[in-house]
Amino acid sequence: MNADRLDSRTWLVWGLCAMVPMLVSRHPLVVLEMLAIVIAVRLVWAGRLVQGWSWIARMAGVFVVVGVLFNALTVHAGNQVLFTIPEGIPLIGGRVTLNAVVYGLVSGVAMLTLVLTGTTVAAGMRWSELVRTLPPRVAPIAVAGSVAWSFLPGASRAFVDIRESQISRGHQIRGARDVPRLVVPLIEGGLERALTMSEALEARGFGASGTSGESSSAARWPALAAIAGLVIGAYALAMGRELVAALSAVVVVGAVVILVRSGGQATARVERYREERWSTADRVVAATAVPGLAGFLWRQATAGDAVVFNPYPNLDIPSLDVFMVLSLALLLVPAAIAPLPEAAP
Amino acid sequence: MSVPVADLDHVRYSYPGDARLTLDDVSWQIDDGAFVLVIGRSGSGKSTLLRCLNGLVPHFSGGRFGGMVRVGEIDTRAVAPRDLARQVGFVFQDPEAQMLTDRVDDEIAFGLEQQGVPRSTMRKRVEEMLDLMGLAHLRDRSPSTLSGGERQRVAIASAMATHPGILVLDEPTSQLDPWGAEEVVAAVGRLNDDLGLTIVLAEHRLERVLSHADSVRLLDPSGDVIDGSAREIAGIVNPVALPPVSALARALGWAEIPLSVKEMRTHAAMREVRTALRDRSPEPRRCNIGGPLLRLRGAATSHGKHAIFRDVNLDVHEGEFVALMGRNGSGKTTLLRSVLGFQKLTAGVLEFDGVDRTRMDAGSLRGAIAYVPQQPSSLFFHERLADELLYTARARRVEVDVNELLARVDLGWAAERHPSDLSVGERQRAAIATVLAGRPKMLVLDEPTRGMDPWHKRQLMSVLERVRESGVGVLMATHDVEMVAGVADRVVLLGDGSVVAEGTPEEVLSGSLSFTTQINKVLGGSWLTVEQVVDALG
Repeated sequence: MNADRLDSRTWLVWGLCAMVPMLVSRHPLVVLEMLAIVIAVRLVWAGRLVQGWSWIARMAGVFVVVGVLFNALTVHAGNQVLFTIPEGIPLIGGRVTLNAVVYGLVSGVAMLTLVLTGTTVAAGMRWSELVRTLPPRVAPIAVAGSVAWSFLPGASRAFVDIRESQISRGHQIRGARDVPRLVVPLIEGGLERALTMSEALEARGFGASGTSGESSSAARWPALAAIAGLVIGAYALAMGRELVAALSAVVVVGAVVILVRSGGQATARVERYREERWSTADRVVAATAVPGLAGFLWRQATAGDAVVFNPYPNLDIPSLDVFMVLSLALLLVPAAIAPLPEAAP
Repeated sequence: MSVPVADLDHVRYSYPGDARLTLDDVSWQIDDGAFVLVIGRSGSGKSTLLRCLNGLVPHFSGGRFGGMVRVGEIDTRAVAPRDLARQVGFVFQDPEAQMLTDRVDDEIAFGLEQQGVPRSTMRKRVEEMLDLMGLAHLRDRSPSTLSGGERQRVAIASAMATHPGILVLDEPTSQLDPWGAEEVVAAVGRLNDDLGLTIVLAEHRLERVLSHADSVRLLDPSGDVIDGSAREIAGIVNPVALPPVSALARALGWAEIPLSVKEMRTHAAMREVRTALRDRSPEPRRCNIGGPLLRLRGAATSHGKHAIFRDVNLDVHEGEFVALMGRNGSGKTTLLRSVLGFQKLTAGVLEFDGVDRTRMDAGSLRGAIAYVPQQPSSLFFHERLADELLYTARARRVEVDVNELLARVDLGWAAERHPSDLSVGERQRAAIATVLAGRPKMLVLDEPTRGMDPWHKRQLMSVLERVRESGVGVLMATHDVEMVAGVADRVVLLGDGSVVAEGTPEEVLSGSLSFTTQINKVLGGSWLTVEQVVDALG
């Protein structure tokens, strides 16, 4: 199967499903499997999504070194002692263990996988496409987010320009003291660009009365109910009142549904230029990613120690759970959907 | 009698925190279907006046506003700019800063979506605009991948999609190269000629637009306003602001001022001028060039597998002014970055001041080559301009007389001013003073006249002449042919990453159809500037 491109919502669903395992598990096999999956997806879609791999190698180095050093120097637990730093040295004094080094290494790779997933999704996604799919009530916030996102490349170019200008002037960047010399022009330039962008938005009719509903007051009550339900639910959960928490959750969900529905009615005049439709490839990716994540979470919840990696106090070889590995393998599906050759850039 | 499509009635306006009136009792009627040109120095209130037409002043800017602006039947005081977008399309200076989406057709549809236009109408309008602006082949491209001229045409299409009665453009070509500017002016001219759309255009580059204008409004920073036809205004405005052909006609005392190359060539008095200049050539330039400073031999660099420039030979001597020209993407900026040590050469040799610096980085130069970037504000982080100069001098461990240096760039009055409070032209000269405080041997400038009015451009030319006379070598990347013809000792023309021509301005610029001045297009030979012709004719 191949496709010209994947829908932004598909990328978003796939990205969320790929990120959750990195947030809830430090099992080395899970981390390595997810890293391999993300790299495979990037490789297949690389022509479209990213340019160059050298920065990824640099980033991997930084994450792994920082992860290992931080963990090894601050966590002094474990049975595999490598050497000892004098106890008198604050914070880092104590035993440096292989257990902490391994956990730091796994954490560094997990961080790298998270960042790679995020950048892959961000590059594949089109903000404007995503904005069109959102309920009209939240569309202005999404447009603002889209504009903010479009600032990043400009800010990055401006930073390079400022740095080079200052170096040519004879300025040497040595440490934190020199940061204002780079940041002040960057902020001033950013503010100027923000002002121009705001003017452009206003002049182009952003938020014109043709799109605004008149039921903002009607939306107030569901919004208040949602916030109240959230606060009460959190308090009830903390106090161990599961029934009250469950009822609060029902109130929150109901209020959100009302909000979204009233949003649609209030902005009945809103039209979208492009009708976003999912292709078969989009459906296949989403339909495999969600069960893949569900399978992983189900094993996490039910398999107990078999799927949990804890290097403290003893560093043991992690166990292999075949079902969990196969579940996560479903996230590899985007890599099996090759981009159409004629659509390559 | 023509019908006014917009009417300003005794408008008075001052920005928040500024007691000075930017607009003082302005009354103005804009006729339906007219092409109105608004000209004047930076700070004369052009942008403020234009922003009154779509209500950005005062709704967005704040400040004190008096009088009334009516667009059709709408009083702009009562309607927000976002709702006036149906009546007034607005195009800003910087094409990059006004792009809001990541596809050309989405960008055009943005305003229509905001106004709740039905999808069927929207699709029709987007197709219409794509055709009208010649953008159909770019419809699925991201605006960030387009040239400046293409992006500005997308901005015009986006503003036009709502079918406004007036299209207002605030210096839309100021950030573009000459070819991009040509595209935009041609597109705007078509809208006026073919659709009868009312155009209000603020512009500094009069050579392209003056002949299109039905009327011109000349603003002065003192608040004086003069309205007239293009030819009437050409007869009274400071010649510095005029297209070179009009300025030459003024200098020669002609009664009827030509507004374009075509009008100049067919002017009755041209026969006399051609006869007087026959078999003559301009006086050779006097220049006092010293020893070699920069020497590039066989230089090449690339991004990945893509060569940016190759086999480039370039010399800059003490007291020499070298202009680097070429289309966008020809490698000018990358070549400057290589000279400064920020982009490593993949082949060739770079020597500066007799030392091989091919493998050295930018830090090793320690300011010996000073650099003024495209955005001069990249240099400033102090609250007083004087402190900027002192900081550079300290970084280079040299002494500086701040007042003397600021006087050399015509900013003797600005030592205590915040750099952000200066105009575009003043900021550019402040940046030059800031880097010259380090007593560099060479000055590198990247597009210094971008967005600058002709008055400030003339001042900048004088400043750079003085810098050159002090023995500093100058290397400047620019698209500004008229400026190069006036000040450069040598021109290096880059095309597709290699040097396609090199020599004096007379050698490189004469006889070309695009890379030449208006005067050369009319007179041919080696004649490039108004001054050369006036001197020759006595």
